[in-house]
Amino acid sequence: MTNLLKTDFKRIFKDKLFMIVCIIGGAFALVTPLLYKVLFSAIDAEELLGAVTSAKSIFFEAFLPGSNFGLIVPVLLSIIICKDFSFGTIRNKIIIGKSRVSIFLSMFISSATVLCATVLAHALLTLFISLIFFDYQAGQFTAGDFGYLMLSILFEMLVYIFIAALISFLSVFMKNVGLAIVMYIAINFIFTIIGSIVMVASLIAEEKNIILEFLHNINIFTSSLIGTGSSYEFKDIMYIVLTPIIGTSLFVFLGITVFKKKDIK
Amino acid sequence: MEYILRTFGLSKRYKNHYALDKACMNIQKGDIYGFVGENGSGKTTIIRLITGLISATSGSYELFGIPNKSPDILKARRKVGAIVETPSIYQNMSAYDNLKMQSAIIGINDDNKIKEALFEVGLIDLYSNPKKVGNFSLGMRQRLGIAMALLGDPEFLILDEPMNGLDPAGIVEIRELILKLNKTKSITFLISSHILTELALVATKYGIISKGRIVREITADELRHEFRRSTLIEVDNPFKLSQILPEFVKFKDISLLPNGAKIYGDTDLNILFAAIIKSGINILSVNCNDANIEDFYLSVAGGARHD
Repeated sequence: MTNLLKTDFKRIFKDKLFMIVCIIGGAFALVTPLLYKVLFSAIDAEELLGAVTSAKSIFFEAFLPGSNFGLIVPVLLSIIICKDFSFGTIRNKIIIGKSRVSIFLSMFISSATVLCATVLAHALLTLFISLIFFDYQAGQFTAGDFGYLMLSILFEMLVYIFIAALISFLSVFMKNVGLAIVMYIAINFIFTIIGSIVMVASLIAEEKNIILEFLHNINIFTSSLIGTGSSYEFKDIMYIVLTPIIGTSLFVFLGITVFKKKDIK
Repeated sequence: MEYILRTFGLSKRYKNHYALDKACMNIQKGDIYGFVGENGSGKTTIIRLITGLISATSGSYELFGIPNKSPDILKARRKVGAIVETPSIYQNMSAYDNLKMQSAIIGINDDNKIKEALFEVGLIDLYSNPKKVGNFSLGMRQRLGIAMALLGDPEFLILDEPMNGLDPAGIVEIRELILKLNKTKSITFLISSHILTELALVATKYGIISKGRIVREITADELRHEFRRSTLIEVDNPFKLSQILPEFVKFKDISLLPNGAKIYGDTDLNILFAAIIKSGINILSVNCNDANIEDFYLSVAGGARHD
């Protein structure tokens, strides 16, 4: 397993696409806060800027799986993962007696680590650049805010671990980079759209609707409970933690089951 | 007799079609097993099965004496190297990087192993060459594939159509490499090919597969004996012929028939015919047969193909 992990990390880092991910991440981190600044300057409403946005909100937007970077990284990572199938190099691992379970787990762990690391690096860079132009938030930054920030980052990581499990599953299920990407983008869009519909429906509904609230809270792709307040309720934490853990476990289990039975050409 | 691979009624079905049908294959230690069959006969399917790439519909196999259902089959696979159809290499990396990756998978952290493998296949110049594998010729990729398969010091090397797409010089190099590795490192080979004449130059045993069935297994010695040059003589007095023949032909090279005899090997037929005529025997017909592996294949697989 350790050997497989070493190899998977090595091939991800050696791939040109990884370099492209880093460049895109850096560019988005720089451009996003600048765009806000330029946009509000252009409409001559800089005094509104502080009320509308903050470094904190830009930071958490950078984490959204439906955001530019949040969508690009899993797609590029899928391409890297699927290269093992398109080049046929997955055969080298099976032929020399590596178990399919460890091959899948190595694929999942390495993609989860790289995905979390790149998304976190991008979000932190976005935060640092945003702090040049904006305050972190309207009020003062307290120790409680720091704890909330750290906890939120941990929760965001759970979301991306879930996404890594999903792309690992799609990669072994499809064995084809194009199909895996199309499936991932489709799933991402569908859940983001569902999230928006649920949110609008909740706003329209005159009374609190438990089903809509539940659908809103379990939608991992909108991560609507993370980073939107200043503290977490126990009920929110349960949703935030359990949903990605259950999702990750499900896709890891499905991925292993599918991969164990899959014929490799 | 130590068996490296034995398959017992191995079958693989895709929807309604049997790609492999109750195949029984026996490869002993030290064999260079030439696996012969037409396109789509099931050669690659059996290779995929024994390398664990696909699972069998029915039947079983033993690799180094370990049954395929046993958890220890993974340990047995560590002694196997294989190229299935095309070499599995990262096209966006150099030869060295590919070998380094494969070393990491196996758990080897010794660059000398990489050097050694490249040297064995005649690609040592690529050790420090950053050229991407995607720009290599097919022959170079084939040899790099073998180098990667050699990294884990395999005892059993499976090469699926290794001569495919190679130029004549490349074919000779691969053939010499196979013979060298078999001799110096005692590596057992399973080589599938449809270039029979090439296979005949290295194989010590053959397996003929047709329509997913292994129709015959034969050692090279048996094949030579069964299909060596022969002359069939039909005469009017076979008994008298049987008394004359030992004077001119070794006893082991004579096969007596009800209407004459079959003589194997090179015999001076002029002298023999003169002696036969002189003894008053009438020669009714003479038929010379110079058979080779291709004739053997057609006689075995041809029948199966027309079933």
